[in-house]
Amino acid sequence: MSLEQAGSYTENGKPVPESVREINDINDILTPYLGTWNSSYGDKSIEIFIYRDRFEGEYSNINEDRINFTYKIFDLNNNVLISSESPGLRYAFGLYYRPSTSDYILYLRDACRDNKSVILRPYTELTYGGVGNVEKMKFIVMPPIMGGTYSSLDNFSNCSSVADLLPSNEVLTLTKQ
Amino acid sequence: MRNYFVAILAMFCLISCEKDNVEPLHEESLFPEIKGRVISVKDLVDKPIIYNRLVEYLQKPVAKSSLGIELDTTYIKVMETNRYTSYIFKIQQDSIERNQVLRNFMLTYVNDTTQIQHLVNYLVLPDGSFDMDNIQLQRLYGDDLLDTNPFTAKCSAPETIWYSYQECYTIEGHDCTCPEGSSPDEIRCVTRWASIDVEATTCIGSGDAGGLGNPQNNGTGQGTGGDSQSNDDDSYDDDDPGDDQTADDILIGFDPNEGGGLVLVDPNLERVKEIISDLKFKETIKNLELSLGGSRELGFSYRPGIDGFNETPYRGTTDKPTQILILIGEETEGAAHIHLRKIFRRSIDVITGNEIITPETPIPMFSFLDVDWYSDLIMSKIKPDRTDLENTLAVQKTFMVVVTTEGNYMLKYEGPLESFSTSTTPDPNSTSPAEVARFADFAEIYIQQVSRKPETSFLNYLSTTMNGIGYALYKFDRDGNVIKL
Repeated sequence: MSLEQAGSYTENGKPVPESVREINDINDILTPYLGTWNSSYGDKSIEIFIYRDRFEGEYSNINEDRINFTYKIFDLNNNVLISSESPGLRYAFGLYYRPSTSDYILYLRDACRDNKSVILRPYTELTYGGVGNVEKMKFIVMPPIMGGTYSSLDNFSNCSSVADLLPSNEVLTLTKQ
Repeated sequence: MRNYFVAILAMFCLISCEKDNVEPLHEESLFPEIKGRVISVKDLVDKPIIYNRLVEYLQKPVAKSSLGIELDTTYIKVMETNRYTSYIFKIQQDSIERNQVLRNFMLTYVNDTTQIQHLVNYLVLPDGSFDMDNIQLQRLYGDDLLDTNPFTAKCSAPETIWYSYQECYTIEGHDCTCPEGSSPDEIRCVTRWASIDVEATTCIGSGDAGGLGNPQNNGTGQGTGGDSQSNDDDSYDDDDPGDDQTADDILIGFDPNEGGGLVLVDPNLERVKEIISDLKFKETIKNLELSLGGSRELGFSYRPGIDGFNETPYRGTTDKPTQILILIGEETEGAAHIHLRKIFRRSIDVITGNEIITPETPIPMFSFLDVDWYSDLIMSKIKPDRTDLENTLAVQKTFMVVVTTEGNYMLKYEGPLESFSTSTTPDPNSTSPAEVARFADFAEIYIQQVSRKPETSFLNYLSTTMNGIGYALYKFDRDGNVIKL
């Protein structure tokens, strides 16, 4: 099954057919995402590195192509404020491609349990003056695709929140490096 | 030499439901009152000894059984007396063999401790009934179910005295065809055929413990019941103060299990039906279903002793619309919440200034944090000052419900409590770096797969990561329809 076909099931809240064992990037839709991208917002900037991955699911019995990304967030002096290497954090992992909106959704773990979904939507833009193209990508941070029930109010005083440093209610435009 | 008694009470299934046919029995003291019922494997959770041994056996490949026997656990007949409890299983057979003989395995516990195993064969007569006068028995020894050497008997068969009488006993879920007015659903009457074996003789490796077609039964009937004294006492000395008198004179009944003919009532399923038929529960589920198109998750805790279902607050602020807080108190027995059809996120494009509305589809299944909440609830019900049975009963009442676009799901734990404690799911509350990393790995594995195949992946998750033999997932609607997935 292609990523587009599988994504159509998942974005409509439907399970893929039980017989599906592989979901592959047959039409090479992931390639435009790959590479290093960055953007500035307020007094910060972000750099993400997107790479291709193959996920093997022991519960779903599905092996599938996906993309993940690592990230760094800098201050105005280019100091790293937080990164996917910070305690309790890690790379954002790919969930599925959404054919209806031609974008890809990933899950971003937050050490303070403020996990997020990230939507990436690449596109091509003409350069100023109309000579040549430049690769751009919309970067949208949303509530997590999977929330949860909590039995207590936890104290997260010593955690690293990437969510607090990401733009709130704003769509970033990343540029490929 | 001390006398000991071993008896077989074989029961005909020739049913007469008229109580008048029951003749008083002067040997009443020898034949304790029997209560019968039909159960499934999961009903044994409050009998952890047999449950664990049975589950351990059932998890083994059949080939590992030295006797190559596969048990049919669909219908387990139970006979209970004040002295012992017998669990009678049908053995898987092909149709050719079944036309000639019905094979059963019977596991008897005396005083909830001493284990006695029998293989029992009932020969099929030309009219299809069983030859109850020629029951074939094979006693097995050892602590492992069916993995024992049947030829390590300690005692040979004793002299046999035969009895026959009728008795009625209650059986739950009996699909009876008895005459009207005879309480057909409550009483089952059987002719009991009994032998009492008196005085063991040689007790060293005689090769047959009242075994298959034992020839030493004086021709009146075949087979002997095993004694309950198989453990360690080779000398049956009356003067031995350490002898266990309670295990010596046990009378074990036999009742053929044909694997059908009785209406099996799954008490776990009945508990779920009871929950979902509650009017307050239905109203709550309706509220949740009507909220599927909303923008924030909605949740209710269930505290039947206080206020029934009660809407719960959210964790934190409204920018966390998929996080709900359901505190667990002494009276909390369950919770129900929603996974929305879509979540719409409004954002401003900082370059164009345009508002962008982005939809997202929540996964129509429990999140791992939902499961973690349910684990917390179960743990809150397990108290050290209670008996295992009391704890089991408290846990049996608990549930977790999620309402989704794909249906309503209920998660319940129905297994033994000791298995529950061995869950390998990482602790989301831990602050240790190793556990945080393990939890992050786990979250990735879980979300990725449950998003693709919600039911299949979740069930696989329960059966692997959560030692899921004790977890059950039900799907239900407001009309009371429910299935176990």
